Amino acid sequence: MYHYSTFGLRIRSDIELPELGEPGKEENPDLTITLKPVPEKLPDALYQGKSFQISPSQVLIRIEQVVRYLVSDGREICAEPSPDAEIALVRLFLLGPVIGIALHQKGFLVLHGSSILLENQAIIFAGTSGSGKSTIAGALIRKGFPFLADDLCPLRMELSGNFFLLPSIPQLKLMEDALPDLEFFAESAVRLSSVTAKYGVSFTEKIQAEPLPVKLIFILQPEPAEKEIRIEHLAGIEKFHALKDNTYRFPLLHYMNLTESHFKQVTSLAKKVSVYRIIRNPRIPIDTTADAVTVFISRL
Amino acid sequence: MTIQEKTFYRRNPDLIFSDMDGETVMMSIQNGEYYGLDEVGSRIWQLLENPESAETLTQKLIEEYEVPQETCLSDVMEFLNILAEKQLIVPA
Repeated sequence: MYHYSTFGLRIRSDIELPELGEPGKEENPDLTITLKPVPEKLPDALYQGKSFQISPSQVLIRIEQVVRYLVSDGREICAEPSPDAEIALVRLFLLGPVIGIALHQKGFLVLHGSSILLENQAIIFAGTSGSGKSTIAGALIRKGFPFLADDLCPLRMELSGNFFLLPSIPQLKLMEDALPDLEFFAESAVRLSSVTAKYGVSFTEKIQAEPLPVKLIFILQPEPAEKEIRIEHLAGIEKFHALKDNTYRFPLLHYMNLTESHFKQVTSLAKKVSVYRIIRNPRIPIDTTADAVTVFISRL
Repeated sequence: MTIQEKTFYRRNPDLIFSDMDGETVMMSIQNGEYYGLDEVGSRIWQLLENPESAETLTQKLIEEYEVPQETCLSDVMEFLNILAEKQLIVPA
């Protein structure tokens, strides 16, 4: 049995999760990860997909020939790996989509983005898969900005109405073509599994312990027709949709009965936080984008 | 369904909505669809806090916007028609 803390949650896990740092002392958990049989089908599912079956309180996630997970009420994750499953791959899904679903069930607003620290506040880069969230975070980390989050950015609304980014999994995941980053982090980059082209860079030595206020959100939009790079301010309906569409696995929320609370969270967030869209030609070097972003931030 | 000039309408209570920088976003709790209103549409939506007809809305709008009454009335009717089609408003 291993005890960890991440996303502000005390986690008790049957599976060792070195991505979360050193195990801590035994505590009453907010979320348990248990190795036990998981059914093939969720009987009361409102959505039956290839990988996901969803009911309002439970989500069954099936990775063919690797593992099945059942996530219940944001409190329990059951995992049943196949006998010959690669455990690194089991962890990769567990600490990605599976825990992402649990965070939704817990009622956080989970943005699909990566985050770095600036003046004790979080700057989030959101975008669809392949839009360059992790690589731009990597480029800014190389410039000296501390790492905060990668892929999952769960936000909690405080009573004041302000949004805070929860302390997240201290690992940046990079594709093998993210060359400047991978060269820089070469010593610490570890291939995440034998079947993916992703590498992980660990930041467990400097784990962020406290939630941090969200200062601003950038939406990354690769645009081959764009000459170089352009940053535009979003407002109104467009701002709302940008935040909605960059919610982690947004289409699943409908079946989890979460769209109403999500609407309220997104409209509240939009009133508190500035959102900009970074429209960039994907061919321009990531460091050029990172330079443009730092100049832009310094002028705010 | 076609809007009648003097028929009163109200907001569909199954909607949640929010002002976003003068525009309005809304979501139907029933079907999960999202809708957006521009600034003038948002002003009409504000006025629909209480039941209104095309006629009463026009009276209010011509005081705020420089627009001839006839143009305003036909625009309001057209707009209310769209709202009614999408069941964003219902007869009061």
